[in-house]
Amino acid sequence: MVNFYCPETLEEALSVRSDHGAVPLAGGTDLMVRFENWSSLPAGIPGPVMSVGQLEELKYIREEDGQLCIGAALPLNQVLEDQRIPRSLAAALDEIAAPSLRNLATLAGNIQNASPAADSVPPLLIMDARVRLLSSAGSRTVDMGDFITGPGKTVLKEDEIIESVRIPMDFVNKEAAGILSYRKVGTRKANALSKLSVCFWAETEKGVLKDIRLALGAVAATVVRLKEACARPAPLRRSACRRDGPSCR
Amino acid sequence: MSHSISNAVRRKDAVAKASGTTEYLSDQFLHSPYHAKCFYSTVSRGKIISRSLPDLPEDYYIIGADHVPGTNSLHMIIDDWPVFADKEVRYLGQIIYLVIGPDKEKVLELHSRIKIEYQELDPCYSLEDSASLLGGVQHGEDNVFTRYDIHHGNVEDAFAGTVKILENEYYTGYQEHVYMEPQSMFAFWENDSFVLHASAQCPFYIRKSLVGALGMEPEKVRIIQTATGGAFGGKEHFPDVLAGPLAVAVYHIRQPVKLVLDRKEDLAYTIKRHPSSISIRTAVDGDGTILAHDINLRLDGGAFASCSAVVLARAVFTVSNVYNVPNVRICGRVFCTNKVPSDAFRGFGAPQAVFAMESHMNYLAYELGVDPLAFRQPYLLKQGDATITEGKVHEKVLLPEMTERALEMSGYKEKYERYKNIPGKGIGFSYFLHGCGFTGNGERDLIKARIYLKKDEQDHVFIYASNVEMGQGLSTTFCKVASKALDIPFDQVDFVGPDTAIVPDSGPTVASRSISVVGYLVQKAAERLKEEWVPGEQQMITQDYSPPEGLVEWDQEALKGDAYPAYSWGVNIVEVEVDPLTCEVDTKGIWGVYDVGVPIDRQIVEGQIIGGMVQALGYSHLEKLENRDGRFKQATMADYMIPTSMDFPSTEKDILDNPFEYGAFGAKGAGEMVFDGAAPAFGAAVSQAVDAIIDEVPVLPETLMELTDEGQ
Repeated sequence: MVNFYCPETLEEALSVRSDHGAVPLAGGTDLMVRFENWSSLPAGIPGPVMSVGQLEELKYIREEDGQLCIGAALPLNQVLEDQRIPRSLAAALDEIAAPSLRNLATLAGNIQNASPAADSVPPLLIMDARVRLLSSAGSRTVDMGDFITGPGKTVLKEDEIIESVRIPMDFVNKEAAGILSYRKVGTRKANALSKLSVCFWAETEKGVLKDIRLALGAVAATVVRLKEACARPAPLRRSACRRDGPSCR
Repeated sequence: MSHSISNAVRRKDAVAKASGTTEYLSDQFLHSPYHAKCFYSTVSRGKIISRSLPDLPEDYYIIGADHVPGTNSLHMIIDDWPVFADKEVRYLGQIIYLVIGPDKEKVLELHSRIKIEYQELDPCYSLEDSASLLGGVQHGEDNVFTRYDIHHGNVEDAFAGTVKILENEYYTGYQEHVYMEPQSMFAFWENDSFVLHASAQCPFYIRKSLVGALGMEPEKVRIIQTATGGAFGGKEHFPDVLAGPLAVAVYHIRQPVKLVLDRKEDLAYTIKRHPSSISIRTAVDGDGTILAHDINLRLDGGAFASCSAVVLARAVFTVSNVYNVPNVRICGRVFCTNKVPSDAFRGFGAPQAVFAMESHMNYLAYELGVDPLAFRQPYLLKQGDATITEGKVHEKVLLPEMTERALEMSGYKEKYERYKNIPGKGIGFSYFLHGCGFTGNGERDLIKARIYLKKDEQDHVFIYASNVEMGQGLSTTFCKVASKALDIPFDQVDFVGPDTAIVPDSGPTVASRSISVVGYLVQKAAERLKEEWVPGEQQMITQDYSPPEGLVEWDQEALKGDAYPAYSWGVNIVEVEVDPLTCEVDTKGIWGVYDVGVPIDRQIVEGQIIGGMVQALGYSHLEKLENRDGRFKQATMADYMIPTSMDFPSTEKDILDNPFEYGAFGAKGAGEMVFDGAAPAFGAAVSQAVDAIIDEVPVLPETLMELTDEGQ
């Protein structure tokens, strides 16, 4: 048997989390598949489970303290449809699974699942997004790059839940002026897992690239931001890049 | 010429299936008093040295080999597949026990407490392992389930006087059926009979496989087909493998039991398409003319024979494809390995054979420096030509007209020339054929199909046959044939769902035979009923199979004569673009022109064309299924990639008219042929795009990357 909680408020959810260590389940699109049981028996999730998809307090997008905050329980399709989110994130979310799954899955779930191939993570890394974590005791905010520590592993503590993902408004405002490229190589054209994903963004100044940001998915134990590859001694001219053909598209 | 019978009607099953009211097995028997879960072997090959079973509470059972009342084997073509593994296991996934009880959670818990100790033996995972008898012989004297040899003309002399010998080997991989409804059955005991409801293609096959295991008379074993959510060959023999253990259990328990596989179990442990390895040596003279083929065709049969012999027969009889080559020698073998058995899958050996020969024709043209399409033309079979089994092509062959139509629809010639200079773009062509009905004498000597037509007092006509509706449209096409022959409205005819206690044995729903063979019986019966028609009276017509006249007598020992009474024919063209960076292949265009005799329903045949094409293109480059140490690496639908509607453009298609005298209103088979040509056309297109020989499907980006890296 699985103990299942359905808190009505965020406060109640936090106390269920701290009292019982219940696993937060929003869309369940990863958890229910991973712990699928034989012949329609309840999913074999080890330990208690707590539904959080119903918590209105976690279903929002708003600007706050110079950040665009995306609530943890907002389904991906609602995130995707919001014109305020960066195009790099929209491009990645649009290629996650299929619309029906995106009606359930959440950004927080995609991050907490910590797959090396998680599609939302490359854009979140290049935009220096942060993750806000809540517990009954208080809150803390962690850099996206520090949140995921290995395949399926994050720094989320037993009493914490993800409250929101926060994107610096600075990036949101300047994204459109830079060069953006997102490409996912999947196992087929749609509804596919990533074999490789690339998110690239760079600012330009008078035709010269500066502030180059690059992240790769499905190439290592976690999604990686290639800071060293982007730190270069001399400015790179766009035309020089073009000559190499499709690799710089 | 178009035939009025080809005009589309609303399918008998359209509204119920589209609206979701059709009840499949799990809907029909939503609640079952007892549930069964299979306990599978966890090693590929070994002797069972000890078994430890949990104590069973009341109402819970663990049923195994010791419970089999008859013989512990399932009769398919031979009897090698046991109902339950007893002293040894031959593949990872072989059923050792059924665990049964009323509460699923308890069943699962008991299941987890079964412990089997094996003495493992060296398993054979490859054709080479099997041929070298690794770990000791497992079948016969040489691990070969079946061998068929063909000697047409004189290959030795042709090779002796030859100028050039060109040789290459072609490989095709596994494929999983992915029918939407997994394997499902529900069984109970009624009076002194065993009754089984099953999602299946061949109710009488199941009955045949159970009578020996149960030691019961066929009349006491009743099989009822439930609405079947797809099959593709996966429900031809495999339902026998589940029905056997379930029947033994019900025999003992005398309670209703449901057995439904989860998708993961279905993916992991049910039969797959035969992987193939086909090498072709060709003798060519100074003018570049083909003198002879010497073909070594090997199939990986897996652990038990099932219907591998028949798959091999079709592969062997199809491998020379649409070409008239005077000297052909074929050595065809299916090998026994320690993997999940390979079995029937749409095309049944033909797709593997056609891929090899069409890819080889491209290879020959490449080596000889000639145009691949022009190179093929002199060899195309014509009416009256001999086949490699010394039979005859009886029908008019429309390949020239079909070629012209396909070229016109696709703009092939212009594109082929243009893409020679454009890296990453390619267009490919394939020819193919598919024999209709059972191989050789099968229809006459083994199947002996019989159907009934019954008319009630309201003058409503019912068709009684054992062929099933599995999505291919049979319940509609049979009724169209009968209503046309009777000259009564379509709604006045109905198809009775197969139930071995009610319908006669008109044979299995396989081999592209339902319309071409059984449909013809429906037509003949309806014509007789029309003659004898008495309004307001009950009437019944029995129609038995009789072979078409004028065939070349089949000799099963010598493999000579007409392997098939007629063939369906096809031309496919596929256009692709290969991403220079990721080597992903984007299919830009698909064209198909077919001769299916006369389509009994144009919309249904077009559905077959599109579905067959997409399934075959999946086979060509998406559906990678690797067996590593006896286990399939792709364990879920997230790993095993079947195409979505986003992956391919729509198939542009045409159907040419070529009535077959002994098919229902001129119809030949359509269900399998539409699968046969896509892989080689796709391979040829990719081949042009990347300027490398493609000799293997699936064609994966990873493989292309290696090929093009080598090229650089």
